[in-house]
Amino acid sequence: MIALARKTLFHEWRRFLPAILAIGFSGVLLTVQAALVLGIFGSAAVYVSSSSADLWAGYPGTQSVNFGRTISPDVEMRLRMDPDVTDVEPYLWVEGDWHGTHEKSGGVSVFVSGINTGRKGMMFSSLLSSGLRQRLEEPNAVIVDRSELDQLGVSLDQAAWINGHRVHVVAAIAGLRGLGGVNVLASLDTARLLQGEDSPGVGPTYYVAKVRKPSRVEAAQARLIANPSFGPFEVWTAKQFAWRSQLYWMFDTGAGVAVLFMAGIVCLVGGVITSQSLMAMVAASAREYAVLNALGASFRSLSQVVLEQSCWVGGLGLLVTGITSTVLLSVAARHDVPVAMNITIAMICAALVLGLALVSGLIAMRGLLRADPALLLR
Amino acid sequence: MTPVMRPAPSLEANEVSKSFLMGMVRLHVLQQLSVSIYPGELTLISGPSGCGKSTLLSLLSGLQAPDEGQTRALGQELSGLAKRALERFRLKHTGFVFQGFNLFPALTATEQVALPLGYLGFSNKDALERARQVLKEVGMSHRLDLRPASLSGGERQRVALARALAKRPQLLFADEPTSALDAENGQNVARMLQRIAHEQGSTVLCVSHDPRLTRHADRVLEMEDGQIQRDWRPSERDSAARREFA
Repeated sequence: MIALARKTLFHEWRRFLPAILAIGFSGVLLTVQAALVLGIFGSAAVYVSSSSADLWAGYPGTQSVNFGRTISPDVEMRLRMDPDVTDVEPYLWVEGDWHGTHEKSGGVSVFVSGINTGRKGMMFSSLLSSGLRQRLEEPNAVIVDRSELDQLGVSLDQAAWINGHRVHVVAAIAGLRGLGGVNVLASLDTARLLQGEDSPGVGPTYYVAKVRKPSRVEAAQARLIANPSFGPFEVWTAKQFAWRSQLYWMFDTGAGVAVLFMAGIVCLVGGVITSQSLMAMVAASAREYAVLNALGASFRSLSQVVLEQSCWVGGLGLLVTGITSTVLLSVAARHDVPVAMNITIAMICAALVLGLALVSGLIAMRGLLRADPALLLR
Repeated sequence: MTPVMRPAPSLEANEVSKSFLMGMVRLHVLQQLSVSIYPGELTLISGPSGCGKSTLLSLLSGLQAPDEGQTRALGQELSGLAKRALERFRLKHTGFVFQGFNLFPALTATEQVALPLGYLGFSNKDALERARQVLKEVGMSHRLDLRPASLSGGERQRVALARALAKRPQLLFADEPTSALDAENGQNVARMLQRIAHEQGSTVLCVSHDPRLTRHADRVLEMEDGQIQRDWRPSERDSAARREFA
């Protein structure tokens, strides 16, 4: 069979270009949006995803990491009693008010994470080298995200104030950006100091634990059910707690619905532009299609040509999406814009792009109704 | 005088009527018209614009169904056939040449001709081979790999003719095939249509008001106001004229 769809597409590429670009840039918008969602809402769980702990024990019903409440120190004992748990460490969450040294800096809400600074510490293990952990052991030492130095009104090695206590910025790293406030890392001792010894909720917010084998995580979680003698607590796997935190920010805050709405708009606009471009192409060739129909080519065969063209448009649009999104996301990541991508989301975006092209092709098939051979007779 | 023995008609219209709605007015284009067309002949339907000649061609070729009456092609009743069945009938038996050349800009002459053969189940190799052969028959062997933009009007019409002929149709319909062509190209196309009828035994039904075609037609149906006013054979008129002259 003569490859009519392909030959027409390559010979008349200028006429197909608007459809290809419409599909391509719809794909770019979807992909970048998805990457921003993953990046921004992923940062709601940066505490979990950048740590090597397998289990998290916190106050029952905690919706997101930043809503943690103080739990009893006895929970540590309960965790250590489990035969599969090999290590336990406390994690202290302190909300503070930051004042920098720069003249124009005002007060900034910060979330101080008090962590174990030991060499084998689980919290933020993927972000902190043992050298940086060691530096946190210095009294009042803190580490912040490098992209937030300006917002905090401070430079590296300078002093600042949290809740009226003087702290010293010993390092600025990447990947610490969070949602709702600026993340500050400190040792457990520094965090306790910032929390104020006499504050009502003194004590750890979470206990994180390491399990002997990854395959035993669920079993260990199942065993660690609430026990009144250890005070109120609930145990989640790291994956569950990260997902729980992201879901809260995505849906309970309404942000996710807004994102889904935007994705719907992107698909709609892309679909309308693409289908109109394809329909114009079909209408422009209506007389040629009508001759083929007069010669006996069925409406179904002609529809297949239109669908094949829309598949080509989808494929080429996907190429535009892939190249442009890769460049844009690389630039964004280099400038500390919170973006992230994984294979599942990339595949979903690709499927949406191809689906969009296919639906546009189905709509454009209406243009074939003009290909009535009787209209060729004058 | 010995009666002329004719084969069975390949196309028949039996009291067909067709009307169209033009705004608020219903226009009766054909009214209870009957005609039989025979194989091996180039039959020309001529007449002024709007007389119903193209409508008659569309009914006889199965492109449209009559409001009343029956049409038969190759002994098969067309009026009652479903759309898909009509498409299958056209695929197997008919070729069309239209006034506009309607060639795909992206395809070469060979590909234009080979394309419909694909729908008949020809392999690419066989379709291209047949296309080259037919293009040679219409004198286009030197333009096989050119696209429509590089062809003259006459050459494009010959490619369109080759496209219609490639599947060796028993029925060939042509609507004003020479009107966009100059004198020489018009004569060439008319000669080809006649040759196809005589050499291949096909039924060639042509609608035109181009007088150049009359000379090559075996039979002329003159239409006016939706009726056939005159049915005559140029060869008989020429013999009568010759007899008169002698």
